[in-house]
Amino acid sequence: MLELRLVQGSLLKKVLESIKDLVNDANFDCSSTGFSLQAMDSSHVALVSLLLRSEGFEHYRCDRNLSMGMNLGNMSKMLKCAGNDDIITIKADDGGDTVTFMFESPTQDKIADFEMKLMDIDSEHLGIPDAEYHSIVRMPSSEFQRICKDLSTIGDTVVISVTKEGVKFSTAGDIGTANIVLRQNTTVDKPEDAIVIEMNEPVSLSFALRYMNSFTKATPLSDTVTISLSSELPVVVEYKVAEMGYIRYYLAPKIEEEEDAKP
Amino acid sequence: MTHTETLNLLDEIESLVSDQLQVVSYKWLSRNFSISSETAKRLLKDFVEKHGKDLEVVYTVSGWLKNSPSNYLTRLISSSELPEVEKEFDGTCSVHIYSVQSSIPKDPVAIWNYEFVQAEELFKQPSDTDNCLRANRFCGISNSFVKRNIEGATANVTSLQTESAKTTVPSNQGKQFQQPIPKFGHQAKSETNTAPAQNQPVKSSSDKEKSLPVPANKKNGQGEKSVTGTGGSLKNMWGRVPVKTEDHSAPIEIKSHDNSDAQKPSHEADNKGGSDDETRDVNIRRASNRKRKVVFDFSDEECEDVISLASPESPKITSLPDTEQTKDSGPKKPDASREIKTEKPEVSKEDKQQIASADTSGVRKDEKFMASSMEKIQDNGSKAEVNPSEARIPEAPSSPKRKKVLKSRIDERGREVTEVVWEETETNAKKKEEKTDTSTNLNDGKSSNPINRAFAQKKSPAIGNAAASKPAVGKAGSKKGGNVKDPKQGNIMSFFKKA
Repeated sequence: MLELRLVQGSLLKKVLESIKDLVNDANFDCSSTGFSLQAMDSSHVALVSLLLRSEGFEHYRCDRNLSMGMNLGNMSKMLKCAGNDDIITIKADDGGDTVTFMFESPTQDKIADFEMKLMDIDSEHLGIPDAEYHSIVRMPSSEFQRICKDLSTIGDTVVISVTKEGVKFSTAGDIGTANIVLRQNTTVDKPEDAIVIEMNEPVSLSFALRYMNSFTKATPLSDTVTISLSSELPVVVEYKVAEMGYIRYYLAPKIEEEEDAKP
Repeated sequence: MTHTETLNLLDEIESLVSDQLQVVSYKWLSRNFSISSETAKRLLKDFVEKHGKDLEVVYTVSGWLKNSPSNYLTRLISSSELPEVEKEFDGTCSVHIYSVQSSIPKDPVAIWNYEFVQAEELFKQPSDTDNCLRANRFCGISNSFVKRNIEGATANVTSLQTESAKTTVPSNQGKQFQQPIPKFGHQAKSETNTAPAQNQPVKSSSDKEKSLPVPANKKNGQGEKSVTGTGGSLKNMWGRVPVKTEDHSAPIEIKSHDNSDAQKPSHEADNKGGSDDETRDVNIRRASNRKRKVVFDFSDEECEDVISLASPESPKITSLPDTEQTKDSGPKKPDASREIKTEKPEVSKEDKQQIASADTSGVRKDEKFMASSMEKIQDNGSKAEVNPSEARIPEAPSSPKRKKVLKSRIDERGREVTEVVWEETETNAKKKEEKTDTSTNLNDGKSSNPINRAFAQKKSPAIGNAAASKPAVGKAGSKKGGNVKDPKQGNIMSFFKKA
């Protein structure tokens, strides 16, 4: 038996919007610690990892670990039927092949039940080690979104370089090149507008803008985004989810030197 | 004499084990000295009783385990573990000596290595030489595919046997089964004094001589059974064996027996040479005759078993008091052979199908190619676009460029499958992409159809068109999805391991 009651139902709606473009089908794993998801995109270049801790739910009951395979497009369709202020409750039976989304309006005068079929998905769960990153950049999520959008009109690859001076996003395309440099800026009125750059080592990596753009679908979830870079590792783009968890995107860099991609 | 010969053999074993540090397993012993595996085990037992102190013995223990869904277990264990392991079994278990050696080898493979090398060499012998492995003589397991070359001799032997059985007074059992040994031991000894590896070539000649008594054993067992009334099935097994009755008188039997020996060109040709040999043969038979008689006395009721086993060796084994060998190896090996049997036909069936379909489709195409005008080709083309399942059939303008190719691949069940495949000499990688990108170019059936077909054929003619075309789409799709644009794009899987 699974019963998760999320007062801030809009969070779930936003979460779905931020991953459904990247991943079609995925397994939601429910355990006593929380509600999580890990999935790769079809080309195995990017990986999304979602965690909503149990403390963030008003009511969290998960008798035993449960993995529910869902089509994220269908799930998103159903969640769109929920109002932004609605309380969303996710219910599932242990052996069942369906999941129920219940939407309650804040005034309790409207209750909607949506039952969705589950599916069997062979998911490849990857172990993601905790790593020390060479550089970590925290910046307003909207700024990051803007940069990615702008650069993608010019080129399809962004080179992110972190140096003492700051963080540079650059691209090159048929029509020309673009460089955007952000300097550390912590003297702002609102802490969420700060740009914080922690650099242990300078690092420069290039990524497909297409994926970066789909990561920024999570911008509504959080005011800030954290980008962690290491030359040997995929970039991590992390959005906090309202103190109850996170959504992290991992993207494999493009290989600069060697001609052939790694297997 | 028997005893001295046995002693010789025991000495032989001792020198092998203690001087050459060889692992002497009963299988090796049986093949090397052309004695039955049962006898070999007994010999090892005698040997261990005599020299057991400074030896390591590996036992085969088999029986039903005590656990609730009781399993049949066969284990090789060293002598120190024996009492302990015996407790694990439910009730009785059979205990056999598997091998003797000066020390337990660190690598268990060493236990098996000598007999493996031996078996390899036996199989390497020219195919016309008859050795104990080819004839499946000393094995406790029958293989119905192994046929021994037995001319009419059997019946003679049988009757001879029964005759002699009547005349000879059955001696005690131990003597009986040791009697055949001396002869072989005699011959084998001179050879085995040299290195074991050298034995094989020499053996082949001596084998022929040795081979005599043992087949005789079988024949005896079987022959007596035929007396008991199961002659019909026996006949089926050894097509040529005439059913004989016991009526014949002894002297005649012996004569005819000798003749028949001479007539056996295949594996007893060497024996003809000397009259010495002949007489010895007769002796051997007589010696083994007693044994046969004993066998018969031992178990009337085991006749059915023997028949079903259909192995020359089996009668003897089943008749022996402890039937461990058949027990412990029985359940396993037949399975294996069955598997092999079932697998092979499948493969060949597949092959046939595929080849056949390839052929027919090829024929079809050729016909069409001859007959069809350009219009027809286009017709077919558009049809194929509409109905993908027909895509393979329509004629291709580029057909002259195709050729039949034998391709072998490993299929999902690990079997090697060889297929006849039409392959286009022209590289159509580019076209493939076009095709998968857009299925909308209905009207230029000319260009898209050949690709479709060629691609389908490449996969495998026997597999449905849909199956063949799917992977193509999938490939293209995934390519389009990410990596096609950027060969430089890394893969996330190369950074994180699967949990």
